[in-house]
Amino acid sequence: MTNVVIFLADDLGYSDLGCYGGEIKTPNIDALAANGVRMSNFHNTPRCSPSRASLLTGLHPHQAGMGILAKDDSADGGYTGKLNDRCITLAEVLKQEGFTTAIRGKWHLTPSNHTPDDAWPTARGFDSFWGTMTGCGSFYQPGTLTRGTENIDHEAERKDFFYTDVIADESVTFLKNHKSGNPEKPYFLYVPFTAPHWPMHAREKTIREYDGVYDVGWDELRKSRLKRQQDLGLLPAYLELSPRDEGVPSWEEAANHKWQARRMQVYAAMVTEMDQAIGRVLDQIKANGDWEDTVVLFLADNGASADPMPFGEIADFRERRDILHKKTKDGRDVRIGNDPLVMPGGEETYQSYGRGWANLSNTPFKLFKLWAHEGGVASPFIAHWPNGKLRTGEIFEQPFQLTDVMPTLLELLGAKYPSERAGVKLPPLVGQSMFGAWKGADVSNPTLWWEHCGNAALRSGKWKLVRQYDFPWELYDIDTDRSEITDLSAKHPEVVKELTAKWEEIAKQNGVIPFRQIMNIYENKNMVMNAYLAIQ
Amino acid sequence: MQNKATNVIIFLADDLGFSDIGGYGGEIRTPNLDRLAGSGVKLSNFHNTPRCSPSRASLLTGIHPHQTGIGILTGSNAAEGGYAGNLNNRCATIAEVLKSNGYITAITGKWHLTNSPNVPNGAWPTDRGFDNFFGTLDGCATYFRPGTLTRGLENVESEADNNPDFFYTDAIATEAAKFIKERPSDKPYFLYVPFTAPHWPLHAREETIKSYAGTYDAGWDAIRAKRLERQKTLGIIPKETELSPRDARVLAWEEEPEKKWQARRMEVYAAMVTEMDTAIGKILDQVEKSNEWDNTIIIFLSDNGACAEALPLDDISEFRRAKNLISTRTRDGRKVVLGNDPDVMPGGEDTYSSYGVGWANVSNTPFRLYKRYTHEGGVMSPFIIHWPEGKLNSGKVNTSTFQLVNVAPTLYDALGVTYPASLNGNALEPLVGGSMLSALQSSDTQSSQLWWEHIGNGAIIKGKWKLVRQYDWEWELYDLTTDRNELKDLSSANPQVVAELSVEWQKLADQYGVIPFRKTLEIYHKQGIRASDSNHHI
Repeated sequence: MTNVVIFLADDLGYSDLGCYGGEIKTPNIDALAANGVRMSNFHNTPRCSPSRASLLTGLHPHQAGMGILAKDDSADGGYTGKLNDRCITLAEVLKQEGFTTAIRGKWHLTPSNHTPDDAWPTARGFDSFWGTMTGCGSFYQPGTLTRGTENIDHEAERKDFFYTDVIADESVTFLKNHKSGNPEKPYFLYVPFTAPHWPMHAREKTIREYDGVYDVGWDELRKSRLKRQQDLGLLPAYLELSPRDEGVPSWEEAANHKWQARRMQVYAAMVTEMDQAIGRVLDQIKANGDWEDTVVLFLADNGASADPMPFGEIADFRERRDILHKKTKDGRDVRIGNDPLVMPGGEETYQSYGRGWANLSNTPFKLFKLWAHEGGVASPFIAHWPNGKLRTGEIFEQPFQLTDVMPTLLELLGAKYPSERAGVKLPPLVGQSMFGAWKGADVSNPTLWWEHCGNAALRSGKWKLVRQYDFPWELYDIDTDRSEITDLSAKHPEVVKELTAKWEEIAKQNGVIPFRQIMNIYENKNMVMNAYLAIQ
Repeated sequence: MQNKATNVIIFLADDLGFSDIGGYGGEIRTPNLDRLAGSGVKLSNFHNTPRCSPSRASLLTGIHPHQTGIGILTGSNAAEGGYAGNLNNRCATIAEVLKSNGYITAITGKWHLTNSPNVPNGAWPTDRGFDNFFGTLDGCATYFRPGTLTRGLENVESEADNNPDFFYTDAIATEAAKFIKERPSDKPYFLYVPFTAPHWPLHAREETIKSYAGTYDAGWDAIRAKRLERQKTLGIIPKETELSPRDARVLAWEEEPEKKWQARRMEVYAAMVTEMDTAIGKILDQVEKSNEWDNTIIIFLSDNGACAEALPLDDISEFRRAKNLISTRTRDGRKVVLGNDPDVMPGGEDTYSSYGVGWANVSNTPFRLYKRYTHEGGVMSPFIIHWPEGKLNSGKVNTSTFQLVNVAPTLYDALGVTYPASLNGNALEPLVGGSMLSALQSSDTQSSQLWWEHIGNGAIIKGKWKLVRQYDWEWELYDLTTDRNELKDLSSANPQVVAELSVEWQKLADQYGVIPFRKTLEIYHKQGIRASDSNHHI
């Protein structure tokens, strides 16, 4: 009787964890990796909701209705932004297989955050739900806090509420109740944290543990992370560091060093706090006596994020009662935005950590969340299962992506993917099981594919075809140049042509709506938020 | 002995909307501009360009901005194949032309026509025909302590540092009046007074702000409707004109959660306009005192439509690096709060914010869109000209269609000055527009062909038609005689007109040296400046 636990981090970069080259303290995740397997070439999608949709359904996000985020643009010809009825979730499949299913954390798969609809967790196979409907909430007082289908925002009103910790509390409670209530059933526990997604919120004592660690700046740290990645055997010794992002100044030239270092301290603390939360859940699995026969997975939803803060007008952003409050619980004003005059971390702040540090998080890759380049879609991936006879402690470099998680779990559980759900025929799974790979077999997903906001990529054999929206396709030999430094598109036009046709074909199958059409929807509402046009 | 040759003064406002001043429908108090309008001529169909630097370039040279090297702003991208962002040597400024005709020339205020605002590079005012310069080289400066404050070529930021009462709008007036008073009186003068008001940051004197207490409590919906009514009464806007719908991003005033803060934003903006008017009054008084009221051509206009920009434009920490624009602390050591935060009431030296979409929508009544766009909201300007000796059809509204390129030829025509074929050995681009003088002296409605391009947004006006587009969108076509608000797109009903006008637009774009905006985007892209698409969808 095998249980499944999936831990999902939010906006965590490829290199942040200790076992992926980071200097951030993640002892619990590192131990999972040491006694499990690590994938060095696993990919998510460039954005939050699409990744969650793909992870949970084994389909590409567009197939599941989640092209961009959980926002309904269908009336204007965009995506529904909602998990549709032509997909089945892992929870639904496993529930049919006799599992107890639970989610503790962030959902973000419906545009209806306050009124239950048919895309709420409990309508999509989870027996129980405690968490938030949407993303980027304050860690001290997130909005849309829900139990089942009932709003419980009041639970966050207590003084010491901190979201990452309470996700662990609720997960532990679930495990305890399961043990005492129906221990005869296996369980599927999905734990999607919101750390380390902005806002940069962490406990002061955890932030302090990182005093001085980031004073050396992003340039030095990028080099030392790559060195560790190579020493760990995660990345080949010949792999070069991508150049510092064009929009990031050298550390020497960067202003406000103290504030900058503090931003990364908070980020590191958020990761460490997530690791501690994971540690507590793992302890309870052990206490339940389930350790040997529980499949534990850890991964991130997309690459690290270079998002600025605020988005648009502060005045509009602060009205987002689903994610933040205007005042702290003790009545202080909350200051939104990356202001060097305000040190982030506390409840009265709402900041992101910026492009320089995101560039570090994605070491050695280029670009960020939102892009289909490696910085946007390379994720740590750890699988731990003592009874599974995995090649413990090893690192596997076969390429896979989110669509491959469902086939893997179905294979190792001996479960079947149904052909229909509630009378609606399901598209076939598009992925490939990783289970064999974890035991040393030479299997991989031969074709990886991405589309997000017009950014796109296709990986086939040694080639990766990739583009930024509205710019020409680039071509990389991903085996030797995973940092995407040397564009070979001009040298191999025939490969570009062939792979482009393949990309287009898959895009069509998956129901991609051309991003130009999506832009029109927003531009028609005067929502021209193009940073190019905002330059002074 | 008084000089009886004709002097010229140009007052330029910064980001002022079409409907803000009294003579154009606004409730903002502008008695001095009203006085000018009362005995001068108002144009109801005068157009600027959609952005600051390009408009200044066009106004001062009589050619289109791209021809002068200023296609977008003053960023220097020539090396990568973009615009130089610097006034080039194929244009002559009004100051250069008039100086060579015996004028004394001065600028007091904002320049913003050099890509080197901190180190002289040959494109500073005193390099381009101005005998005197007091003002700023860059835009968006604070009013209490503007960065790049300069006299001639010398940085004088310390003048603001050392004077707790310093306020830029007032200082501009003081310097301008001083110039009029102290200049050698045997020569005529050209005085160019480009204010930075009411461009953000929202900075004004508290007593002026207080004088607007309550004025904006009725909210943007009511104020837009009232402005349009007044515009119709004034004859500025045709009677049958409908109000364009409220901007889709703006809440109905009733639903606005921060009414008090929102009203305060507009109070500060109104105060900025009034303070500019007061400054203009001070200068006009000096003209009268010098007994040169009748022989001075005085022009008032704005550089582009009202501005809906959010603050910060992107990331606070990025914006704070622009030291010419914003100081970290006030002169007495308080932190400057950056951004449109409803917890912070704007106006003081310790704030740096803008007035937002809702009020920009009011400023551009009755039009759509804003600064940056070639739709009417971006390119409609008030225009007042006053010249007692000029036989103008004074006290009247003239509905002729003109734009910035018509200003220099009008002055040359009025002064009997010839635009030279070359300057300092460099051949000059010919003037693009014609003189407005005959229209201003009559009740005739003249309509010249107008043309725009800015960051890929484009437009052309020919006869009753306006063809206009946003970058990367289809062309839209409007009949301006019945639809000044650009509400009924007639492009699909008139494909032939669209075809003809778009060809004409492209021909002119090529002629004026427009660099396709796509090319500029590629340059930005290489520099790591990227569109944050995420902003759409969060």
